[in-house]
This record gives sequence, structure tokens and C-alpha cells, in this order.
Amino acid sequence: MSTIVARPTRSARRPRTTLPDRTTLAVLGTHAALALAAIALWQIAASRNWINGHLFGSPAGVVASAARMWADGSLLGDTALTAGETTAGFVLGTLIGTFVGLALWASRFAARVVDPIAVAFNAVPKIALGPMIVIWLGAGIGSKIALAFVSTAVVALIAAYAATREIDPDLLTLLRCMGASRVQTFAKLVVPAALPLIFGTMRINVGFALVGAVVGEFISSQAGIGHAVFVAGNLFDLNTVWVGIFALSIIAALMYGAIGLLERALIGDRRA
Amino acid sequence: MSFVRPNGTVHTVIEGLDFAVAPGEFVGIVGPSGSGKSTIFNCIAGLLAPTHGTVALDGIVVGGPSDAVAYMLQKDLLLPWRTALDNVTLGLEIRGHTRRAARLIAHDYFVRYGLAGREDALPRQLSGGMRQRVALIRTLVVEPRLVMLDEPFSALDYQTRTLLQSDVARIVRETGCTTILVTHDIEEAVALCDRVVVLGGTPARVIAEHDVTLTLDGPRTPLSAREAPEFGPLHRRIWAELAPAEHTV
Repeated sequence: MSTIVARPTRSARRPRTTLPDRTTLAVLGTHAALALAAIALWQIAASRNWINGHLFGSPAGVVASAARMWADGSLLGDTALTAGETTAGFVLGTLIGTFVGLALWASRFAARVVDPIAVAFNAVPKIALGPMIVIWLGAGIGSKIALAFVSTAVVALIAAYAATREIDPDLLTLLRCMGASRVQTFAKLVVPAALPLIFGTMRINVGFALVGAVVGEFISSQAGIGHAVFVAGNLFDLNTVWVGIFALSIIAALMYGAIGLLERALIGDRRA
Repeated sequence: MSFVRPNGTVHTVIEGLDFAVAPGEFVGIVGPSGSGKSTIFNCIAGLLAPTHGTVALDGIVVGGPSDAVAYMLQKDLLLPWRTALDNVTLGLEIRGHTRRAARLIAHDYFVRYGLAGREDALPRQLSGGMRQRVALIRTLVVEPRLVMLDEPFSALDYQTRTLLQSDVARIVRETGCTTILVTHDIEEAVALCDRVVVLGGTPARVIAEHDVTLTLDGPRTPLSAREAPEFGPLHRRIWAELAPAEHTV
């Protein structure tokens, strides 16, 4: 006869703490090592002319470009501008889109009218609206915010409405039997039930908002990371293009971080 | 009791259904799947309006959901983002209590019915049996005159089910609520109820009604009820009443 000994798994043995555990540290360390190795390989390849440094840029060149842009103030200024346009469009798109999507729960008729229109509009690549929006709103930040807005609002609307449709009908019936008004049902059931999906959509929309703002800057602008990337690209200044790409990554990472914090404050561990 | 389908044809679910429940009584409705148990449940709760026939509560015809009726289902229907305590306060908040006042009332129920200490647990942190206990308290905290239980034990394992049946029977009798238990489980109905209404046939009708009178040594619990000499014969009798209906389906 064999003996079976139940061994606690790693997660069972280790209580959840705020400090990263050894595996997490190892993963982070591996990430850092991979990034360093890629940068080193890139630099060596450029220095030894395995690749054309002019067409690919090089880490040393990127650092030099970044230092130059930092010194003349454009790195911080362009990043702040693009971050501001993206955030403004994202916040407006998320708030309005989510609000309308949730509100559609209240009217089956309005939902049947709006939902197919939203789905059809969502299939349009929003950046194709760019030239039109720039003609209407000009080359300033308004057109960039508007592009980031249209890129996110429809997605937010469709997701928020879909989230209200996912709610267990038995829960809606339970609240009806408790005597809840439509407003009470909306506040106590529909909104909190939709929150997790709304946050998931916000993460997707960070990318869409950035694309909207940057494409707006590509089309017509005097400043911003998109502008810097567009100009540098035309001049074959790939090092500056790389600086722009890293700056955009940092904007995206900061927005993800902010969404994560908001999600923790509003939902935390209170999910199914 | 019949319903008009959207296409206009009349769909008779239940025929010749006529039974009364006295205040404070614990009545079981048993029948096979498709015998209209859920339809009756929805009509009593005011969620469905029959085109023929009436459901009356204290002489007043039920025309929609009312404060007087509360129910508990097989699914606990706890909101995952609310703690156990705040799930219980939901109905009170809807009726206009402040959150603070509702929490005080709910806390009292937690203490009285042996859930003290679990107030701040989230539903996912509770076992199936505990979740159903919280759901029961949520049902009772609004002080309904009629409590409806629709297969509340079906999703639980045998041991949890037996323990919860004892708890529910005790708690419901303590509150003095009139209770209707809808179940397919004959044994459960006989062990818990004062009276059992047996449904069968298509369209469904009342096949039989039985008073559950048991000879007991001590107080009646679902466990002691199963030990009573009358338990087995009554169980077999209801089984026989239902058996032909099940074979013809």
C-alpha cells in the first residue's frame, strides 16, 4: 500500500504579503536581464556595423537624442502635452461612453436603437476620422482630445451596456421583490455589477486613446510626442523616433498604474 | 391557473389548484420537474400574474411583488461586492433605512442565528452552507409575513443540507413566519413541513394533501422527524402518488 502525503502548495504555504516573493523577484530580474541583453546586443550590432545604425538607431544614439531633447525642454514638454491630450480624451470617452452604456440599461427601446449603431460605428477605424476632425477643430489640442475621445467612447459604451446585460436576471428579480425602484436597482446592483468589466475596458482603451492622440499629432500639430516622432521619422532620425516610442510607453504605463489604483480603491478584493 | 402565450394561445400550467395556508404554518409543495412548482412560486411572489385564478394573501389579491413576501432560492444571490452583513441590509436599505440603522438590525439577526463573527466576510470567503444561511437571514430581516423557499437546499452536499435544514426549520419556527417550501425532495418536505401538498399531472393539479403528524420523543427537528414511526409510511405514500405521474412523462 502506498501512502499519499498531501503537501501544501507554494501559495498555500506562503501567506499573501505586500512584499514580492522570491519567484516574483526572479521574474523581474529575468526581465531586467533580457532588456539589458537586448540593449547590449543592439549597441554591439550598431557599433560593429552588423546593422545600419542610421536605419535602426542605436542605444547610444537614443540616449544622446534623449539628452538633447531633455536639455531643450522638448522631451518633458512633448510628453506632458501628449499625456494631457490622451488623458483628457480617455477620461471624457470613458465617463461619457460608460454613462451612456449604463443608462441604456434603463430603456430597452433606447438600447435597441443605440446598440447596433454603436456596434457599426465601432467597426470604423476611428483614426480615419482624423483628417475630418482636424479640419473641424484645428491643429491644436482640441482635435487630439477629440480623436482620443472617439477612439474610446464607443468601446466604453458597448462594454458598459454589455456588462448590464450580463447581470443575473434572478438578481434583478430579487431587487424587484424587495421593492427596489429603478434608480435603487441601478445604484445598488447594475453599477457595482458592471464595474469589473468597465475597468477591463479602461485598460484596453488606454492604448486606443494613445493611438488617437498620436495620430492626431501625425496629421497636424506643432508639438507633442507624435509630432516629434513624425518629424524625426521624415528626417531619418531613428534615435529620436525611439525616444518618442519610449516616452509613449511610459505614458501608457502610468495610465495603467492609475487605473490599477482606482480599481483597487473602488473594487479591491470585493469581486466574485 | 393559465397563461396566455405571446402568440395568443392559452397555456394551462396548473388546473384545479386550490389550497390555503394558515398563518404560521409550514407547508411543503412537492412535485416532479415540470409540475408547475416554479409557476406557483412566481404567482405567490407576485412575479407572474395568472390569466385565470387568484392568489390572495390575508384576503388581499396578490397583484405584484409586495413587502409581505420574501423568498430564498437554490442560488444564494448574494452580491459578491457586499460583505455578508451588507448583503443582509440590502432589503432594509431599499425600504429606506439608513445604512447605519440597517446594520444594527442585521447585526442583531447575525447574533441571534449563530452567524456572529461572519459579518465582514465576503460571499466568496464563505462555504455554500454559510452563504445560504446569510441568504436566509436576508430573507427574514425584512420581517415578511410569508417566506417562500424554492429548493433552497438542492445545491448543497448531503451533510451541509441536513444541518441547514435543521437550522432553517428552527429559525423559521422561531420567527413564526408562514412558510412555503417548494421542493422535489419528498423526504425533505415531510421532515420539515406541517403539511405537504402533492402536485402532479399535466396540466398540474393537486393530487393529494397530507398533514404531517408525527409521534416524537422530544422537540421536532428534521432529524427527529425522520425517526418518527409515521415518517416512512408517509414518505412511501407520497412517493407512490408521484410515481405514476413520473412514469408517464
